[in-house]
Amino acid sequence: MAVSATRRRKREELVREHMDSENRREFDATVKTFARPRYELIATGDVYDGKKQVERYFEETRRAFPDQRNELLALHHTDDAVIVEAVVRGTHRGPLRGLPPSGREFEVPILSIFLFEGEGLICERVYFDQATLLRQLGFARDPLGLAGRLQTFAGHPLTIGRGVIRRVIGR
Amino acid sequence: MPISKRVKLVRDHVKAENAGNYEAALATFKHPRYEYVATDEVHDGPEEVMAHWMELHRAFPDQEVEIVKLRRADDAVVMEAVARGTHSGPLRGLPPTGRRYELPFLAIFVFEGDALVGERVYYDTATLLRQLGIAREPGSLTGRIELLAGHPLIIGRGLIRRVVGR
Repeated sequence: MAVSATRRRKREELVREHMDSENRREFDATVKTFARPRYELIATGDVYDGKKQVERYFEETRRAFPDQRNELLALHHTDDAVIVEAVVRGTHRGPLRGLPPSGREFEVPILSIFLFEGEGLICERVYFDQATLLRQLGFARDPLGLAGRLQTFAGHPLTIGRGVIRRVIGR
Repeated sequence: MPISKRVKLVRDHVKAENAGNYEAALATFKHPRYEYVATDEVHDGPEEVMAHWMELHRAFPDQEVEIVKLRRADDAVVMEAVARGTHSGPLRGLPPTGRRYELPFLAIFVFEGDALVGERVYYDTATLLRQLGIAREPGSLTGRIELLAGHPLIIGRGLIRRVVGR
């Protein structure tokens, strides 16, 4: 079923307020854009469900990246979701899952699916590339670059060794 | 409600890829084009797209895409999907590891009218590399030890910053 123009407008306003309030660091306002607060991060498999967990999500990410901000690039309306292509930028100033602050800046493209039930926002599901983030923060190298290949070989001799043997013996 | 032409085209596209019928997959495009957002990689035109598929097919001959959800937008069909495969051939200089992967991804099939003119793909390369055993979770114990061994300067700087309070 096609979504009416009125409903589209309401959903779009909500999504834009969601993203703007994050940039203003008014996370109470961000949480209020949800009918039911929920984040799903596809790359890590993390789910933050309910107000308390979503507040913890903001605490954790903004401790690591206090200046984190987003820029909306494209927005697509669908029956049950508004899909946003965006860029997220920030500086790594606090601990991130056991990784000490590197002081480095990142710029990562993301895709967010804002899921709706009617006009109520019930989930933001985020697709992004962790490897890009970790490389920009200096915690990983491109495994296909030369430095990355040497490190891969040094760090994973068994996996690579098995691969080389398999290639030589033809399986 | 009839399935839209666009949705049918996307299903045909995925089906042809899964069958290894790349000529048929290519024919679903009016203009063949792939964009990988994470790596900024673009394959444009029939030759480049075909070469890209051949490279993937050599590395992961059994690769199969399972459609999880298709959504229709004004100028696109958006697909959530899972790709599965086994790393049985060389991948850009990395020898085959023999490992299997299962990777959620999102593809935006871009349309002009009823004609498919591009596929823009979002996925997490770290998930893939970890499952192939060529990278580790940087927050895990083995990952941290490896990180310290591989990146002593960055970690050292970070620790100093933490101790001196900036």
